[in-house]
Amino acid sequence: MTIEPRHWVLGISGLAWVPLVHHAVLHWGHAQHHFLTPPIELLHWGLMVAAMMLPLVTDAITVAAFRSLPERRHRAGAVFVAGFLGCWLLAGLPAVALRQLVIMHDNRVAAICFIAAAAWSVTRVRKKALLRCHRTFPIAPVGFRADLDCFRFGTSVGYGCVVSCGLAMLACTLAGHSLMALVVCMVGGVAERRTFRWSGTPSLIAMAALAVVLTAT
Amino acid sequence: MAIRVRRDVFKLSDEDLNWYRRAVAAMQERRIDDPLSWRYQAAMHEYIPGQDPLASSADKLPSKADQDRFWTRCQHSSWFFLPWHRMYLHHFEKIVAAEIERQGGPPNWALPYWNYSDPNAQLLPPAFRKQNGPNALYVAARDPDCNAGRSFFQSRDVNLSCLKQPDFNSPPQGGSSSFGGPITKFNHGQGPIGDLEGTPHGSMHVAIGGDGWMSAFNTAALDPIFWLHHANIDRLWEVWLRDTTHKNPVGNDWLTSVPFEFHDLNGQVVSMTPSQVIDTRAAPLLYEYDDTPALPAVAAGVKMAVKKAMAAKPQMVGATAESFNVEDTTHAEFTVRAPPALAAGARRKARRYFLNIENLTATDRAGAYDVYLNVPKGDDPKNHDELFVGRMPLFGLVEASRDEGEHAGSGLHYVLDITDFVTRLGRAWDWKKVRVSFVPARARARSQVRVGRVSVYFT
Repeated sequence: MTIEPRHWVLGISGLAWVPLVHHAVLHWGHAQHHFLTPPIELLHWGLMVAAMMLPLVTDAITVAAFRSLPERRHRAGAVFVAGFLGCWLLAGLPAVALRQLVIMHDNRVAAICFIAAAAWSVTRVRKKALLRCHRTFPIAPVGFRADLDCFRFGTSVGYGCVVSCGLAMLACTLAGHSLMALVVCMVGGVAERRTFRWSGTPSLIAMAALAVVLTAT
Repeated sequence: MAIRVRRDVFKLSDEDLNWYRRAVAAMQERRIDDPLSWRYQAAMHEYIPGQDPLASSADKLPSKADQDRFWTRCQHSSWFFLPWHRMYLHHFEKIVAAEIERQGGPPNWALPYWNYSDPNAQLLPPAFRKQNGPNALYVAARDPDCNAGRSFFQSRDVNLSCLKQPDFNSPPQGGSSSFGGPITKFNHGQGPIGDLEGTPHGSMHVAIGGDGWMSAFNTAALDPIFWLHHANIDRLWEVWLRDTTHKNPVGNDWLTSVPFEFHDLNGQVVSMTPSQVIDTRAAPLLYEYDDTPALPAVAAGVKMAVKKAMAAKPQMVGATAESFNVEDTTHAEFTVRAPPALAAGARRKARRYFLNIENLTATDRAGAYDVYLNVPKGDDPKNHDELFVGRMPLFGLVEASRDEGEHAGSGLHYVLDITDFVTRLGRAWDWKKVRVSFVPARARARSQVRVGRVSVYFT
């Protein structure tokens, strides 16, 4: 079997779940109260993105690879991922800053953020952002231009991803990277991309349910 | 129940078409929020608020929820192109047939088809041209020559080389071509256009429409000729299947995973999947065509070789480095390098070759372009028919170029099978320098067309 970029991307995603699950189990029930230093908080954010968001863009990574010369396919995938993750890491900076505030370690704040994500789920802006995840770009065959095009492709998809899922990811962070929240958001994201006609309702229901659970705990 | 027979429109009597005319007129009187109305049925293909040529202040549109659920549902650049349009025509036909019966017409009316590939049927059927009195089948917004009953398209617009494609579907990323279109979910539109969808489907939309209704997604189905055009496209699907080595997809991803919703003759919502529309003679469809000719025989050995080549994954071996505008006749050059797996001596194993034109965008309707390969510098491509490799009818290009549309601005992606061309040229084909020429076949001066990339793939 030929190894394609999407295979190792899924491998990275799987590996990223390991420390997230370990952290959640270790601090079960009170993870949201933990103060992590900004670099560690950013690392957690990056792990979340790798674990939850990378599997949602394997189609785009495959396009980038397939449209490249065979010897450049893995490089194309890697550069795409760099652009994609770069977008998300920038988006993570406000989340990291917020987590340094005491008030942000209250479950109710996370619940409010999930309610906001629920409302965002059914907006046309979010629908347009989700469509952007499917946009393709021309890729030069060789050289720096090829890398730049793959990076641009990754950042464009990353931007759409941040707009559509950023609030939910912020809520997951404010919930102390709650395993339940991560799993629900991940499953919701995969289901959304697999459904055959876009509807924001499943996401709305999932986000609202998480808000209710967090408020109750 | 009796099987309806869809007949060639040029073999129908005036009376047969009069019933269609009367039914269309009745449907045109109904309100846009009535699922059995002309405009509602057309909007199911696509509807763009603010671009409805029949909009009036008296319109009461369906609810937003219903618009989102039933309108702008057409499947293009997708392996669902053929089954979706088959379902669309089926329900439209039932609605029209019910209206005809209500008016005292014959039961079991069947939608005719327009076989414009027939040299004797290449003018717009007279019933659709301007008459002395009211004529619901006439639409002013068409190509003027078409409406005047003059010759209005070229043989390249009705070329049936799509019927030679051995595979129904292709990978969604592009690379190789297919008869029916790329594998997609509910179409997000970034894949290449299937061969049949390109020509004659797209070509004839652009040829008939000119600057009018048939050449835009959101107005095409307002033209009564749309339905006869698509009946012919549907018929060609049956013709393709006459070759027993040609197969529809068999996986549930195509057959049952995606339901599409329509309204039956009573306006009730009906959900269908492609599995229900494979056999036109079976329920719920119950129709057949009066003429689905057998395809020319191809040697079994040749078929096997083609099938084997198509099973291999296409590999990109060269592409243009930058996007470029297409203005009048435009040339682009690039180098094709053999990938490591196709080192010297191994090149003979590559059997299929494809030219991909990717991320094509436009600011306005763009007509059609002919594509030539390796025309000598200084020569007019039009003097080199032997170097012609395909026509790109740019039907739907504006819609695909919109950032806020389903394609998110990706534009369109064409794949031209250049295997025959390469085989014919043999050693005269210079791999190291590919020169692609785009020649306006029916260009629109106001549109700025941009090509994202041109690439060559081998299998």
